[in-house]
Amino acid sequence: MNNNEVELLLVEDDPNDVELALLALRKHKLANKIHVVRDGEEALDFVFARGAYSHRTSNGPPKVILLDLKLPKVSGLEVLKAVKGDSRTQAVPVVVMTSSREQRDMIEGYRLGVNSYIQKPIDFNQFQAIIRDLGYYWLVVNQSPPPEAFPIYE
Amino acid sequence: MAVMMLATVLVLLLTAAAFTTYDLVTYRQSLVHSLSATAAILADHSTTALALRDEKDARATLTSLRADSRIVAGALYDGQGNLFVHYPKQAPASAFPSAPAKGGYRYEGGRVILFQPVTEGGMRLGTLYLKSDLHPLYVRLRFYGGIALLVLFGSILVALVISNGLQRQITRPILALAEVARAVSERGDYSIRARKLSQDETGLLTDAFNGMLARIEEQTETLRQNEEIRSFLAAIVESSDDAIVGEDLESKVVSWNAGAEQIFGYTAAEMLGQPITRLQSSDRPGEEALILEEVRRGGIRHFETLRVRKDGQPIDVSLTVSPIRNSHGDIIGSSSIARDITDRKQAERDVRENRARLSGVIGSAMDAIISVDAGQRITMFNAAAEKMFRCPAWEALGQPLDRFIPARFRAAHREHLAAFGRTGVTSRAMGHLQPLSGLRNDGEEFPIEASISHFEVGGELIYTVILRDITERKRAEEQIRQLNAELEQRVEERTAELTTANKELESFTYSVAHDLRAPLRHIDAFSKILEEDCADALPHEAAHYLQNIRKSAAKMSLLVDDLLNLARIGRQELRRQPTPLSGLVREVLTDLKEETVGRTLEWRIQPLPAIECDPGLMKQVFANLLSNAVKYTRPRPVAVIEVGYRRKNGDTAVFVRDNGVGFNMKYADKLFGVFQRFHRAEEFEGTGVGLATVDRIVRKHGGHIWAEAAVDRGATFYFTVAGLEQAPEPEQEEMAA
Repeated sequence: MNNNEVELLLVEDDPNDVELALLALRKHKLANKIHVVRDGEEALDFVFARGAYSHRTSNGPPKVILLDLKLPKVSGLEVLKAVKGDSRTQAVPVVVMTSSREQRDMIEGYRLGVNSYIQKPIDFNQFQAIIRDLGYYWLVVNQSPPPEAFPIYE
Repeated sequence: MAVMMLATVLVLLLTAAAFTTYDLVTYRQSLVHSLSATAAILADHSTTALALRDEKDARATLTSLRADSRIVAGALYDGQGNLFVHYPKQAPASAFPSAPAKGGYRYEGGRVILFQPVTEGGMRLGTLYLKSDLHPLYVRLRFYGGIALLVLFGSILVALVISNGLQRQITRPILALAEVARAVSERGDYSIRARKLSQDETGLLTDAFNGMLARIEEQTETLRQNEEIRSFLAAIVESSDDAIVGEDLESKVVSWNAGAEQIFGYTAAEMLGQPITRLQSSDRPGEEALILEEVRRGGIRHFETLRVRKDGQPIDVSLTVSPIRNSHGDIIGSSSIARDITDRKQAERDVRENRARLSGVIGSAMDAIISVDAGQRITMFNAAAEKMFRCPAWEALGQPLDRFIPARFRAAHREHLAAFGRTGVTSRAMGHLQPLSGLRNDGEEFPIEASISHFEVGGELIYTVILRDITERKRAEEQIRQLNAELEQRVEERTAELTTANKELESFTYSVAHDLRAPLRHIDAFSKILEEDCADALPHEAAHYLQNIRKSAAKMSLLVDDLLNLARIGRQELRRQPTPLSGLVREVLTDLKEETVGRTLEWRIQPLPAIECDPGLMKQVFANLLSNAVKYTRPRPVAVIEVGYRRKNGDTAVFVRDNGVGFNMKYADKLFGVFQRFHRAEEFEGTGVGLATVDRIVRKHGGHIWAEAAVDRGATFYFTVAGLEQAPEPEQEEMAA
């Protein structure tokens, strides 16, 4: 693992959300290896190391992807589908973070293999707490899949 | 033979009697003559003696009577009638009549007494009396009698001999005849015949006798046959159900059979000899007189009239009255045969009534009713037919039915009709093969619906068709079809519009869900950051404003959530499954625990049934209603909240009752509208979406919701759900929880 290794991929189009998320992560010292993409296409480029991210082949996959659902170009669920539908990336943990409580989205997300599904609370205190918990859990507590789980990066 | 003997004796006796009588009369006459002569002589000889009253002489004269032995006494009376002398002298004077009688003789006691006047020169000198004995006569008679007896016996002997001889020839055949006659009379058998033994008179007699028997036999047979016929006829008359009544020419009843008793109610004993006018109906006086007149003229009449029974009931009869003639052909009375036709009359009345009713029905029928005979000629054409074909009945009758059928269908119609006549079916709908058309008098064609029936009258088939002009209906059907098509198209369009709208709404709510909440989160978040990180740089009031900003954001978020929920319920399909409502209530109570901390609540929860419903949505119903109850009882020191179900207005309804602040019923209709609130926000928080959501869920479950309340006196919410009515009767027992 080198320093460039990205631990957390944040897929979020809203700059406010990006700022608040980073704020929360930073507050809990979890914002070191974060990469932010602003739409679904960029997210897929990053995950599959293509386009602007084709150089990333040697780097391992992120420890977790925080995925908003409502995204320009390619929606969050499509991103999820692509990630979980591909043997090279399906082991990457994906956490959906969304504003809505759409049941349909939740059902579809789990059907597609999402690892966690979280509604962003209105209350900022709660939001910070969730971000903190998420960061600790996925980046510290959880054992990430071994590199063998990701044939693309070999 | 006895007869013969008797005849012989009788003849002989008569002969002897005649002879004797003659002789007796002759003898007596001669005796009187001789006595008269003697008297005359004696009288002559006595005149002198009398005149001189010479007794001696007179006696001598009388004594001369001795010569005649027949004279037994004599006497002379003088002119004064006194006995003068008598003979025989020794006889007492008392033996003689005391005075002479008139001249002449008489018989007295088997003797002849004679008085002879003695006259001289026309002067009566006295009277001679003579008395003669008839003894010689009797002697003579005895003599004759002896002779007669002798002759009689002789004759009888002769007769016996002769009759014995004749018997063989005459008597035997007659006896045989007599034997036959006895046998016939004893056995009553007129077929027996006497045997003819000879050709003489007895033979003829036998023939005559046999002839007579033959005739008797013949007549007896005729009589027997007549008797049989008579009793046969009598039996017919008696056994007839018809009243058969004989009347004489005075209209008096002379015979009255059982049928008459039955029909008129009078017994024969009551009617015999009574005038037949008893049966006459009071409204037809003189009817019998007319009948009688007709009968006298020898006419036979059949007619129907009204009679009156013994019990006063009128009775319809058919009468046949015919004259009765005797053997000379004279009319001596009449016979009337009456039949009770009450039933027939009633039947006729019924038939008339039925006919009238039927013709009323046919006349007033909305459908055209047309009958045709086997030759397709119209025999009936009702008012509706006139109107339908625009042709008066008088013009249509007798016309061929073809006239009202468009030319191109005529041949087919004829064929169908004939084929239908051959089937056993008597009625059916027409036109199941093709639509039918009629032809109006003015040439207009129009669609019809028809049914046909046929029946036989006097061996001829009559067809009746019932037609309905379906022009209007066709038009209406066409219109309906068009309208339906239009409607369908409109529905399709609307459905498409609705689908589009739904899709738009869906994406709208989706966007709302995401995009409306994001800014709220940001407002809250940055307010919080400002509050915490820049507290030192802000004036004192800023903290308060930032609090308000965050509260508003939170409120807005609640609103968005509630609205999204409401919208989702509208779209969402129900996922029904058997759900125990009590379980849902328990879950909601658990969820409410936090809200009720520090308050005194008395829950009265009755057991609720299990029903088919969407458990998630149904839980929302209870959650809303119960949290409302908790909320609006907040001012009560002890909140009482009741849940149960009961019969209400014919429905079975679940209810949630509280003793809270209630509301004014005049706003009840606004209760379930979105954003409708009855309380100020400072009093009771809320978005005004909850009851609208509950209403929507209840309606999606096929039920309805309503509330009863009064200000400060609590509120009760009732709702029904499809399937709740099958739940068992609610228990009245209340269960505290």
